[in-house]
Amino acid sequence: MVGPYVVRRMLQAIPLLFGISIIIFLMLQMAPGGPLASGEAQAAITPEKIERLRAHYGLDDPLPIQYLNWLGGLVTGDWGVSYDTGQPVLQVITERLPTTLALTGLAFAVSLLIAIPVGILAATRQYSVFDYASTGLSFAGIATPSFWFGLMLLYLFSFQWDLLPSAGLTDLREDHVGFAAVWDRTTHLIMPVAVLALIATANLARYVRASMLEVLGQDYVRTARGSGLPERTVILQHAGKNASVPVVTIAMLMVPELFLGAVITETIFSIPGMGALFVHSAELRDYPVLLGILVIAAVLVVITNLVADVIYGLLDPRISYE
Amino acid sequence: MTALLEVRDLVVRFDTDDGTVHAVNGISYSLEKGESLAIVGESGSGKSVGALALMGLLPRPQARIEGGTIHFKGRNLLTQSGQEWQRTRGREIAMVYQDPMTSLNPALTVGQQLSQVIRHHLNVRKPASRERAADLLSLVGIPNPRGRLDDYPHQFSGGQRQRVLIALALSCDPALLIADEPTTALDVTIQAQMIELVKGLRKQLGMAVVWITHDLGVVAGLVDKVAVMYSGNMVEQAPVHDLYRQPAHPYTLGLLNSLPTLEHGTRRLTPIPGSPPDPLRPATACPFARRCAWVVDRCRESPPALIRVAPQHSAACYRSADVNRQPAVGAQQ
Repeated sequence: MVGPYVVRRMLQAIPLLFGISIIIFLMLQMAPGGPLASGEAQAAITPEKIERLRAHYGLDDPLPIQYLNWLGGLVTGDWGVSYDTGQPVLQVITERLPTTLALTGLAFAVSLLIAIPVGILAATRQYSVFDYASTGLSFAGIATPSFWFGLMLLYLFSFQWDLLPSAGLTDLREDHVGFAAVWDRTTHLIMPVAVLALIATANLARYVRASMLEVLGQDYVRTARGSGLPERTVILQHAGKNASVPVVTIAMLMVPELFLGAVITETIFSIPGMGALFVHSAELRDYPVLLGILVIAAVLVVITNLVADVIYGLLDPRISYE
Repeated sequence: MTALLEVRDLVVRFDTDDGTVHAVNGISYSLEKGESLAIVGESGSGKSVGALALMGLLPRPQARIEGGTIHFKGRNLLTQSGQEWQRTRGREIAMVYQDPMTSLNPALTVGQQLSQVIRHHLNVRKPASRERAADLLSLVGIPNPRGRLDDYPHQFSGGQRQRVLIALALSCDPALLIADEPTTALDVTIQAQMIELVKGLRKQLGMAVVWITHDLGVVAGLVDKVAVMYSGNMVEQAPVHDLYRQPAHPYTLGLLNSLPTLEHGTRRLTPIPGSPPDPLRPATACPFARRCAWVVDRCRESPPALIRVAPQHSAACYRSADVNRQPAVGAQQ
């Protein structure tokens, strides 16, 4: 059954996350500079002061001790404080996590809503004008750098045509209520979601098409057609259910990618989410915040993989959880 | 009275990267209600393509029906719309496919696959369609039919899956059943079971059967008449016993001579030398001429037409009268 399987997988994820935590901790330490580098460059801050700060944050402890201290805090819910603001990391992250998760979720939903019908139509009309057009657009989408696409959207829709707001999540000049507030939020989200969803949509459409084409050539699809079932049932139910199995893997693996892609998107559109926080913290070498964000990303990867495996079993009866 | 199925001069071509494949070159046959016909030929002879044409399942856009008509219950299937095909397929004409391991949907239960088709054609509710699905499984000899409705195809053995496919084909009492080599993927003991099953069901349900096979050995007790195909052409057609006793085409004779028989334990089987002609090139001669022991100059000049050699017996050979006098080895004594 699914329940015990999920529990078993969660337990298996513990050593995995443990390993990841060592790697990200060491990788961050290996990056040049440090949290105090900017202070060292300033004449106003004396070396004694720097030493005091170093001792205060435990940065002069040996690395294994630093790591164990951090890990101990991580599992007990004390993720440290930001070197920059002095706020607890967990608080900083939980303030911003919903924004980024919402952006990721919206982009994921948009990708699915566009890519699945487009991929199915392209596969059922292989070599048609629609197939060639969607294939061309997909490749263009995959090849487009998202920062460039974001800047182009900003340039056209905000600065040239003045149709959409260029930054933030809400209009800070006015307090919108009711429908106006929803509309305000929507107009702010259109461009960031479009930028974030672009590559995922293009990739996913290719996978859906390829997977459908493979399945449409199977004998059981011919059996369904040969039983006189309507084409709609044949495509959506008989072919679709089988074609969705490989697509689920790809789609679920895209979620962490989208989450990390939000870094760029949030920076372009000045959205106060995890991405902007990550960039800012990286510049300052704010280790506790950076580590916190990376841990959340790692957990997200583990969760989406697990979800993919569970959905697998629901779609393909040959997979058992025993 | 019109025949149940009347195929006239059916021509099917395939467009491939290498050129046009002449898959079926003008075959004709007819079938009365409840009658059974075996179409025999080797791989690439066009027998399966001809069968898929009856179902409107030729792969598009590669396959083209260049000419001919297929009349079923008096109406021409080839001019049917997609909607009309959906009412014909599975309801009036149904097919049992070659490979039971791949012809059932792995993601749907057997009960879903059966009852879905029953609901679509017979316009019944879900409980009634499940009831009928269970009856069908029991008809084709699957033990504990009701309990197995919720099983997936991978939980059935190969032979059982072929039984399920037969049940699926029979689900709406078709007037015509096409069996496309339904035994090739199964081992020999199961093959015999399948043949007996279809034979019995045919008698019980009174449907017409087109049995497609490469094995002349299996059709003897199974069908009323046999059509032999070679390289996209129908080379001989006869009531089953006439064909075995008095084949009128060298290819049919060759097929019979390559069958093992119990009476002649020490006889060496006689293979047919050579291989069939390239289907990419249209035939300007008898397609069998290069492999034929009876060949004369005329065979290389123009392809012979299918002509009557005896009542209900026709062959496409200039020398059919000579061949006809030479009984097959297996039937010699």
